[in-house]
Amino acid sequence: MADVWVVLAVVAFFGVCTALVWGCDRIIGPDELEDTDEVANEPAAVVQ
Amino acid sequence: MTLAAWAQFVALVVVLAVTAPPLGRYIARVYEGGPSRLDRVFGPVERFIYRICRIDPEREQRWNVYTLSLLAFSVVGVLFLYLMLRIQGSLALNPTDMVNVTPALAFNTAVSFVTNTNWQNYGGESTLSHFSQMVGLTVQNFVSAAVGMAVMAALIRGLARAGKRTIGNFWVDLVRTCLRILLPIALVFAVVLIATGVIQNLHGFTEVHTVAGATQKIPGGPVASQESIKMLGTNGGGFFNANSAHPFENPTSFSDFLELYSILIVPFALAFTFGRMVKDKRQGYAVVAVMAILWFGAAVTLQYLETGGNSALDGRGTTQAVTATSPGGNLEGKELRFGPAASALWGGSTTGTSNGSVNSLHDSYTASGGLVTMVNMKLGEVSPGGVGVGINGLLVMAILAVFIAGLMVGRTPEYLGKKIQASDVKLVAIYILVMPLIVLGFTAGSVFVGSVKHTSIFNPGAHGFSELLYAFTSAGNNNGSAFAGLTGNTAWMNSTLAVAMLFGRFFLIIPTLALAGSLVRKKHVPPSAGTFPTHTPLFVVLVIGVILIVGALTFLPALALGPIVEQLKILH
Repeated sequence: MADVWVVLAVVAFFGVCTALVWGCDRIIGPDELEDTDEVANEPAAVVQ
Repeated sequence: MTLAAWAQFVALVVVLAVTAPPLGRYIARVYEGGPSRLDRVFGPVERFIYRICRIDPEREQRWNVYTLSLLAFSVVGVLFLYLMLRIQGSLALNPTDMVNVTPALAFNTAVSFVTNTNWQNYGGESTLSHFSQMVGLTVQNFVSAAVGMAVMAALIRGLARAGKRTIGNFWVDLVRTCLRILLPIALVFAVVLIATGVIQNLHGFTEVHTVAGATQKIPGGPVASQESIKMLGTNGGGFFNANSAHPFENPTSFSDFLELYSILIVPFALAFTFGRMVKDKRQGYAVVAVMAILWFGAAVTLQYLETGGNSALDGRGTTQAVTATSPGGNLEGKELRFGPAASALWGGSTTGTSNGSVNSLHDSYTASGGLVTMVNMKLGEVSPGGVGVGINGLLVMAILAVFIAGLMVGRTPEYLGKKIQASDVKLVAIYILVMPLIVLGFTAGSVFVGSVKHTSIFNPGAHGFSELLYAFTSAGNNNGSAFAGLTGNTAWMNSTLAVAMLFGRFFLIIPTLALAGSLVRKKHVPPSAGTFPTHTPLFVVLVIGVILIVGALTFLPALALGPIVEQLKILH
């Protein structure tokens, strides 16, 4: 039974870590490069 | 400090100064990924690993994917090591017939080694099989160190690149760090350690009869192979309970010097790696200067205090002076073959990195000496810090320093041509607040727990509080050294220390990688008249000031209840 609790605790902690990743992503904000630089950096043939 | 102590210190500085820059340049080349003469050796092995693990080395990751990859690797590492410890009695290479590790201790140990802390609530020779030591702990010594270095590489890429989205590929960084950096160095160092007398075998206990007629069991084991990465990866978990105070792990003064060097070489080298990767060596020199000044201050202060002895013993018929037969100073808890100076130099180095190995008992240091070791950890272990994570902490502090400098002069702060904005400072704030919350929160909570008061703490009063504060400081900073007077193998201490280690590791790594993800998007801003130069002595002083002020303001009240009041009682 103790083993199950340990596994659950470890998985729960890494779930919280994933939530922190999401939270940090919100702090950083949207990627402004998404629609600008990427297109500009593509080879000309792709842009056309 | 004696002449011999100074000579040892100077020799260490010289050897580090000569070898750290070339190693740093080599590590930078590994992370930059360009062609290398060593590709003929490592290239086929890397390609084989990528093929069987289905890794596309050309495909880079954004910060969140990089972080999730790291988390996935770590959760598997914890669970795999936990399972191994729980069933070690049924596994091979168990000549000493070790039984399965209990759940709480296995949890604590698995978390401890995956987080690069290597806090040990067990005695290696009385708890673990050779299989667990070799396949479980030693492997984690390599990969947990590699994870820290991968995070560093990602953060530096975030600073060096401009207008990009990706910060590298976690799996590639992990493989290359292990294969091209840690494994070759650790292999060479293990052979050198064997030459100095560190044991390396697969024996169990050898029963011998002593001169006095008693029977003694002499332990064996693959010590040198674990010892080398334990030091180089700033892991710190000893094969034996006595760690590097044990004669089979650290037999002579010369092995002590080599092991001390191996704690410091990679962290210092990474500052040069940073300078090379951001294409401005002066930035690397500034980082080295911050690391070296803090390390020098702690190491010299600690040596001065420990060689000076315990003032409470003065005038009570004892002598702590250097004589022909005694190294003098505070010898309690120290190995005679090292003496107080070499022990204190180790203490100042192991707590300034996230190593945590010990060659003496920190519990027996003078009250002021114990204070120095604790302060060293509470400053965030940036002197010079653990492999990767040390320089990460220092760069975070550098960003905070330019932010404060920007506030003072009313200009937008910049670091390495990147504008530091509100989102970056929020991430820095998370990074800085997590560790004190863990350390102070768990210490305060544990004071009220019955098992802590009646079982864990043997020394009541201020010293007992110091032991508890030290334990959570060590766990929260992923150091792993112990004050040694505290009984940690209880349900409460095993579980809370494990949770402290988890938060102290991953809740600092996540904002660091987020910072890398934020910085990598930004364009470089050309320096202007308002740009604060970050390679000057003024900036070095500013960063050191920020580190000291943040640490002092956060922890002074807690320290006042422990080592400071202990010292005042001695003076009184």
